[in-house]
Amino acid sequence: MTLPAIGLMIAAAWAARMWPAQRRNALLAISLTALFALHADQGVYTAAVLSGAAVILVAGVWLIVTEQAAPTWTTPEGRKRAALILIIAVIGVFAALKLPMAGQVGAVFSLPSGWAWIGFSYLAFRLLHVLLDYRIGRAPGLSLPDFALYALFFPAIPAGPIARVEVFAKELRATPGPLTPALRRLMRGVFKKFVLADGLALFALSEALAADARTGGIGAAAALWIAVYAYALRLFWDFSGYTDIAIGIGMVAGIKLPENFESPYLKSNLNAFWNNWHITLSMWFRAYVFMPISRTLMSTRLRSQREIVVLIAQVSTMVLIGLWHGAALNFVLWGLWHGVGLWVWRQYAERARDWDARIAEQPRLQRLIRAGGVVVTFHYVCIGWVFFALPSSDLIGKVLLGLIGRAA
Amino acid sequence: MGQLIRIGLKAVALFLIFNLIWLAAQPMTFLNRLTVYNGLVPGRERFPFAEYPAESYALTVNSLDQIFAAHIVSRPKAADEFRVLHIGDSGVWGYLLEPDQSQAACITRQRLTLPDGRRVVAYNLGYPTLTAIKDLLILRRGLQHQPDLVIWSITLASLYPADQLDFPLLHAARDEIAALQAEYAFNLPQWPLPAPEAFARTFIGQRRQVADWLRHQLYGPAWAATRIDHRIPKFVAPHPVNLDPNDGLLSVNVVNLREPGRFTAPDLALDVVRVGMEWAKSAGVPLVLVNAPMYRNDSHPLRYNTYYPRWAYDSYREVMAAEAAREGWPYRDLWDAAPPDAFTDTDFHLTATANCAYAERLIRESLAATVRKD
Repeated sequence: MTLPAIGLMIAAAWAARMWPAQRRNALLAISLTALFALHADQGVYTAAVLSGAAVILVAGVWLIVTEQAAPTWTTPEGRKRAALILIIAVIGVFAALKLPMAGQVGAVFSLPSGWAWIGFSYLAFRLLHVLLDYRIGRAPGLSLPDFALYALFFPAIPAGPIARVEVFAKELRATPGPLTPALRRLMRGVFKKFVLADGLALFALSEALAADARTGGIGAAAALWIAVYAYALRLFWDFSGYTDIAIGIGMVAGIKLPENFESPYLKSNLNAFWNNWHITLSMWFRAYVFMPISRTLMSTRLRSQREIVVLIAQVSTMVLIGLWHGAALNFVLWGLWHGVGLWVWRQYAERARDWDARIAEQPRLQRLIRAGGVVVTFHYVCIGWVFFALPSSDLIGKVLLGLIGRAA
Repeated sequence: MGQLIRIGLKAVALFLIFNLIWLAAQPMTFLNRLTVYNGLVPGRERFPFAEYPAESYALTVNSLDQIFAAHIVSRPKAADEFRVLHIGDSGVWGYLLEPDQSQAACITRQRLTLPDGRRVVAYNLGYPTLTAIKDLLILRRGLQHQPDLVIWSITLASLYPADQLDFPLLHAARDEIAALQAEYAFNLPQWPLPAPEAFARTFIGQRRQVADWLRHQLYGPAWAATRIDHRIPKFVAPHPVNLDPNDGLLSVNVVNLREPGRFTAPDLALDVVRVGMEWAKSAGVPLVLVNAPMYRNDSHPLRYNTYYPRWAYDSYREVMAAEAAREGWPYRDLWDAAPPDAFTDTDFHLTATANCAYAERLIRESLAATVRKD
């Protein structure tokens, strides 16, 4: 996402805002244009195929979940089965795009090698949310243009946030708010992404820096920790900066997108971290992965082993989130690190309830413990970022040893 | 909408005022001395010079004050330290070598101790450009860091008067060179350099310098973590050994020699060298002038290498020897100190092994030339 592109999107959102009677249609036209433009550098044909496929997918989902639009010969049960098939298809495409076989899939449609369906995962999350809710009796009840705008809203195409359809529909009908907060939000996002995050990129942990880094001794360890901290902050400012930009553009257009970050590095435990980091993604996986896995396992013989159920559900969820980032071992390790960490925190929290109640009577001690929790949680997350940032287990091992002053 | 327009106008007005203040105050002079190096992160072992910044974790910075502030030479001198500064070009800097493979690093690694107990510690103040004026500016700053010995490596190509000012580092030091010109009137055909316009002194005009200063600081932690400041390619094309059958000079600016077919003293930037020698003498610091080693094709009738036809280099060596003897300069002609197979991509860059072997001879001869051993 470049500054000129952001400028264009702001201008487009502003133009749509100036046309209240046709705001929805204007925003939809802009979204379809942006969808095409996002893929334009892959060639006109590829851009047309990918944006066309997205539109067809969105229309197909709408047809299934919208009773008024469904053909008369279909039944609710049939449409729910169709929804299930579409869920499997979307997940299948999702998986295929993450794996090397994506190239072969693309060849079927004469797409060039190295093609990329930008923003598909976020589109998939929105559509899967609608399809899964439909299967439990919650239909969005939107017109096709409204639904298409929800699925393809241009500021949120590349990297979210993932709005819920009912919340988005409400925002679409609401009167646009004032511009000043929107512009303030945009400036904050641009500063975080293009100044802070891009500045840290010069010395943040990376595959190249990890390979070049010296290890062994306090000085080398300190330098590596600085690189890891820089990576943690860079990732946060890059991602939350982008979210600010997306929310800001949405506000200019008159649509308030959900928040995605609430000071996650200032949380005193891992559970709170995940409640405040990439909030919409966490909520999505909690609702559609963690809860169903937990419910399913609790209906088996494992129901007497509740904590084992929670462990399996948490680890599975986090590993899936890891795999969503990339189909590689390092992302699995990252997911495992957080899944186990969340479970360990849960065990501690369950057992420390009485102690927590006693501590609450001593505010100063409570603040001190809370500060300690923030430091511990931040460092736990930072170590997790080592798995996330480095694609090879050799480099991961080298950095982890280096962080404790050991030569690799 | 009205409020937004008012905010916009105020922002423009404030920005204009900020630029005017910047124009008046010229804060880059102060900013160039502000650094994370030698404090938050270790100092750099040689001046930053990077053709590939991201892979080198370094940035070519065109401020002498900035690169000195970031260099380890700016650290306080230890009580038992015999400080040696090594000034010169890319051969001294260590092109295609790691920082700890430079001649200065090799000298330090020898752990020499003088009879009075002081440890010899050498500092690499080389910079990859062939110009004596650049060396002079570096020498001036180097003399402020309490050296006990300065080794100034030169070669013929660093002494062409008409090639002295062709480099961004010197363009950025225009004011300083102007002051030197006013005092010493060097023979510099390229002078005067174009004076910067007022716009170039505003914040907008200097935004690149500000950005480079910031990036230079941001590369500090990466330097600390890797100690890499130079991307060394996996494959290096060796310097040419099959020379052209002509006796022309590589520099197209060297014309109208006073005596056709040979260099004489006025044809070289010896006025610059002379000032440097005087500065060092005034500061009480021994300065050894060294004619740097180079690749020699002993079988070619017309040329030594791609840079030098025989007529040019032979006459240069004669001039240097005569001038040094006349002026009483400590001078060592080490042009043949490295074997022909010791060079890498150019006629001046040595392999790591040859560089260290040469450095051993260099410090030995430099100490012998200047330091009286009790």
